[in-house]
Amino acid sequence: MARKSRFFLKKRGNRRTGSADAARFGEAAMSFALLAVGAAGLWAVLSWWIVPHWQADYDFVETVGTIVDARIEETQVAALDKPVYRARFEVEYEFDGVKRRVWTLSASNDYSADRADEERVLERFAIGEQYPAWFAPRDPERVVLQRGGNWWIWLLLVIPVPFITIGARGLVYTVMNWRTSSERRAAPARSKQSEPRIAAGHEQDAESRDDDAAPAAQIALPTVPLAENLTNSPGTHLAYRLPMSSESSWRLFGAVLFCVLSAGVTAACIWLAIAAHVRADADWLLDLSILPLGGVTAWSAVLVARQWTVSNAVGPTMVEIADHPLFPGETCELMVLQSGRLAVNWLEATLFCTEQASYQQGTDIRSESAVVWRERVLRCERFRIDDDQPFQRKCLFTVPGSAMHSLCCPSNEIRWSIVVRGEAEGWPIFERSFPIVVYPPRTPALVERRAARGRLNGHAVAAGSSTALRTGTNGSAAKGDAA
Amino acid sequence: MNEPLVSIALKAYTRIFAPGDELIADFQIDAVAPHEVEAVEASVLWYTEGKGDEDLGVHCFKRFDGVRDPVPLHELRSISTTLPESPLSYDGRIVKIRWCVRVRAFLSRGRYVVADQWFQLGNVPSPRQVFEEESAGDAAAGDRPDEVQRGAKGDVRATKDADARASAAAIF
Repeated sequence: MARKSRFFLKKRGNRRTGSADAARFGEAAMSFALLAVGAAGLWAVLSWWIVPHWQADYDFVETVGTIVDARIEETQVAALDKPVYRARFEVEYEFDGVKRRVWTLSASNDYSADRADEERVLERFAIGEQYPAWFAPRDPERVVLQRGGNWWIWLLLVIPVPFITIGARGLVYTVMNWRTSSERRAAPARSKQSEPRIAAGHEQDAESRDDDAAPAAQIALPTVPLAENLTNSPGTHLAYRLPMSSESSWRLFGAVLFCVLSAGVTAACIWLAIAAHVRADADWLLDLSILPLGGVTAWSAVLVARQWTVSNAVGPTMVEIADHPLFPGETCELMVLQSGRLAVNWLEATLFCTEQASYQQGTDIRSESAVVWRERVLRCERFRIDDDQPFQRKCLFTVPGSAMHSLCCPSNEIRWSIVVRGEAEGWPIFERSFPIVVYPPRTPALVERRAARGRLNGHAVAAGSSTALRTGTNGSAAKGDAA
Repeated sequence: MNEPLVSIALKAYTRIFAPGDELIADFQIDAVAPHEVEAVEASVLWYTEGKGDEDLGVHCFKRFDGVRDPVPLHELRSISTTLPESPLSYDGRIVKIRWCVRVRAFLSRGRYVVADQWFQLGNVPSPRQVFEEESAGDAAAGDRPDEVQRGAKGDVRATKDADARASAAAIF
């Protein structure tokens, strides 16, 4: 039985219904339409404004013309549903011994909706007086009284150029991928995409892959995030100091931006309202709208103050780790350092693994996360921190033996992190996240190459000097000693 | 008219492979006139499933279009590759990673037929599966020491439409 046509089609992944060819044709038609609209707009901008003004500025020959007559022309524009005006002058000038009379003003002879503006233009030229004029030598009927100062016409390109760019890109993409499988498209993209990801490794196609020939210091781990950025800062007690996640900084930036915008809108409304009252033309609707706007501004200011407090009032938190990246089943030493003059109620460090997925829903990109591992590795209660000596505490933690490795794909991620939370007297609960990278379980090739890398970098020695502990057990975390 | 058949067979006793293993797959196009097959693509790839948009990575790709190729396109061929260290197969809560051998045959008049043969890379258990094992272990062993508090209160991240039981506990 023939399937009825449907208005709503699923469109994600293999669950997509409907004809793929029809979808591609639709994409191509849409891209072509955008390209055509952009091209038409570009042609209009060039032929009506840019080229005539360019010719008037650089190609026209200067002469002297006499203003014989002047008038304001009026025409009706259906789209505007009101008349538009332009000032025009009859200019008499001589070229090649022939006297000519032409109605003109500027190269594009634009209309304006404001008649008063055009009347002011009329006042700038007096009838019977002589003024400089410029004419086209190959077409002496084209003459202007005004030229230059038309930089704004280049801004008109802002309208058609994006249409052309998006349309041409879409058309080229559709044509190049017509009858091309997703695997074929992904095959070259994969090697390109993984280039930066395997700065410490390399990957080849199966045909040319030869592990023995690969440089010993290289580890090929497609989709596993690089650990280099997490290990380029040495620690003072352990091998590496982990960088803090920038999420809280972005939250603060977003709150500040919202607060500034909100305050700006509120201030503008207040200024307009005061101006209206001064003119004795009060707009009570505007006055009333200031109240909710002021409320939103006050709320956003409180939000900024709170974010700022959480970010900065409590002293910096540092996390150091004995080795990195980590492997499933391995136990590693961790050190938490907390500065600031604080009376801390409690402070804890937790190992987290979170799945993160982002997806497009209509025109929105949404993301969702799910915690799949949470294990508290350190908790300290009721202690004071002095200015001169930060709080320091070491502990051991174990990455679960059956853990999934870190994953970084465009729409899907698996993130491992150490999250330090705490509460100090008089301050709200603060939370700081320190991303870590978990590699896939040790495979012989990986272990061999990692050992080779360690030998090359002298990494193994560094780990020893920092009392690194990597026991490779599958057990759970154990509490560490105080530093 | 019959649909063309694409057969894929993994040359192994198991569908569970370890990183670094050699994967060999035979494939063949049947129930189609030889002249109708214009090209065949075989790939070893992974893709994601779950809440997020699909990510796709091709580990090994081969295209046969009959040019300078004495073997007819519909006949038995094979593809082989050494499997990479990552990403491993994973059946998470909102992120899943599947590996497969995919064969796509391009037929005349713009038609094509595609078939997947799934396999597993690595042995990362599903969080749910381990959760059940952990729960059974917990029941037998009693309380855990204070230092290792699985499922401690005080979420640091909001988990949308989460399975409460799973989200409250360590579930690998």
